Amino acid sequence: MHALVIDDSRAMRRIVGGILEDLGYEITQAGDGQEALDKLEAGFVPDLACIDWNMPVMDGLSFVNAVRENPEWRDVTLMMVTTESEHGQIVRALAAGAHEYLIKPFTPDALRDKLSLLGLVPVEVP
Amino acid sequence: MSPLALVTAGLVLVSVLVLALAVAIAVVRAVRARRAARARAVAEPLRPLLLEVAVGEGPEAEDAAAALAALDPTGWRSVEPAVLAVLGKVRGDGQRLLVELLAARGVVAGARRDLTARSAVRRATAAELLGAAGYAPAVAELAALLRDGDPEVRLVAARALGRAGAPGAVGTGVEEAPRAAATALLASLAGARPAAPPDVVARSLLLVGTPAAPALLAALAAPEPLVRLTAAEVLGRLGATTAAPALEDLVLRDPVDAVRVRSAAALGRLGVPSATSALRAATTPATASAVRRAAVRSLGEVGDPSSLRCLWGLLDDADGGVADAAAAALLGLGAPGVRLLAQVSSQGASASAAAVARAHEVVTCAVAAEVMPPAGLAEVEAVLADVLARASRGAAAEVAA
Repeated sequence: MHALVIDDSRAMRRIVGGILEDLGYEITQAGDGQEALDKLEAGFVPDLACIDWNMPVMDGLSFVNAVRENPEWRDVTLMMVTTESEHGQIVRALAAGAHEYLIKPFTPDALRDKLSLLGLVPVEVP
Repeated sequence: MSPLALVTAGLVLVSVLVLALAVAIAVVRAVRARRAARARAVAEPLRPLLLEVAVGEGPEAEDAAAALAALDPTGWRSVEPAVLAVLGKVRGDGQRLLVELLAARGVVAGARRDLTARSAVRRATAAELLGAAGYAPAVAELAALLRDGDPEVRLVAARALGRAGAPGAVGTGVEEAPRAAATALLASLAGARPAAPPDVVARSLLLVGTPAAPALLAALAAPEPLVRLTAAEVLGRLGATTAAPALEDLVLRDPVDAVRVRSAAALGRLGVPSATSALRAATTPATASAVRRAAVRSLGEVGDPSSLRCLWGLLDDADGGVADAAAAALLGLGAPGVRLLAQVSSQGASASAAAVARAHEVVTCAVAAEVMPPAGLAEVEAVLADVLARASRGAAAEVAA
């Protein structure tokens, strides 16, 4: 499975990407929503996109809106990653079409639980 | 005065200041250490009394609580931190006695006053204390704190409400507390800016437990997706089977995919066979991928054999995530699912190459992880024997080549 980790913080991309890699994902990174959108337009369609909220050029919500406008990307699962102080933005993200949210700071188990909920933990045997 | 003398005087002055500062630090440390030692000396003989109260059994516990309540201010000051530290860790009679002790010492009344203090730290500290105490009479005040201007205070209030509204809470109004706490917590998620992070609210609702079910059921029809989503999640984790019809409706008709995903997951946790039909309907290709995966996964958790054909058909779904989930779900169905996987894996059933590979992978993983249902073992052993034979033939062919 492929995951697109979108965050303007390189450290956060590395943390989220590392956890996902341990779960068997192949990781692609983007520093903002526009860079991520460019990758999608170039033909890269991930199974999962982990999206930060506040980013330069194009923020997370605009990216979610752009993905949801294109039916070709309807199977991309969108997970917003926000801080506790930004949790109010979850409402807007869900309304825009995000499937799940993750609140920073989080543990690898918390991310795994969310992916499990979405049926996105690779090679999962009950 | 010569420059040399000036420099010397300056150096002497700095040295004196440094020395004075060092002496002051040493004196303050010594005073603090002495004070702490004195407090420890006073608190040490009181520790057994506190333990007796925390255990909460028999007249000895009541006597110990009375002795602590009658302490002079110095004695109470030395033991109070230990009382507060043990507060959130004790349930039952021990908890009741500790709360009565704190009430007798005026700590509870002080905390309730502090809920409206100007300092956000004091408001949060007071809410934390009342939550740790599981103090049911404070539910209304803690609910009001969910509208506090400070996000940290709202967060602490949301956590505290879960404990104050939990079945083990103490004080007057225990009967009404769970419903009031659940209603306030769910209401805190409404609006454009929820009062607290939804995961925190969900955890508190879980602490309130089954008494929260009526409020949660009503919340499934709330206009805000975050409220519906959280209610679905908590109902599933509480095992509230009466919520199944409403959750089925959400899986099929909610306009927000995230709500459909959580509702499908909740139905899987409930394990109600009647939900199978709705979950199957949510696996059709017209449905969003995330919802399909969650529905397929839940079909495996429900484990109803009527899902067999549906899951078999999904083994070679164009969406790899859905197909993987279908293979794992078949395993969850027990013997019938394993039998089908074994047949597909050995190409005994008409199936695509993708389905064969997927079935084979899941069966092999399940055997390795020792999660195979015993009834399905015979089929799997037969399949593995076949697989091993094929592998050895392949290896022989490679050597020959």
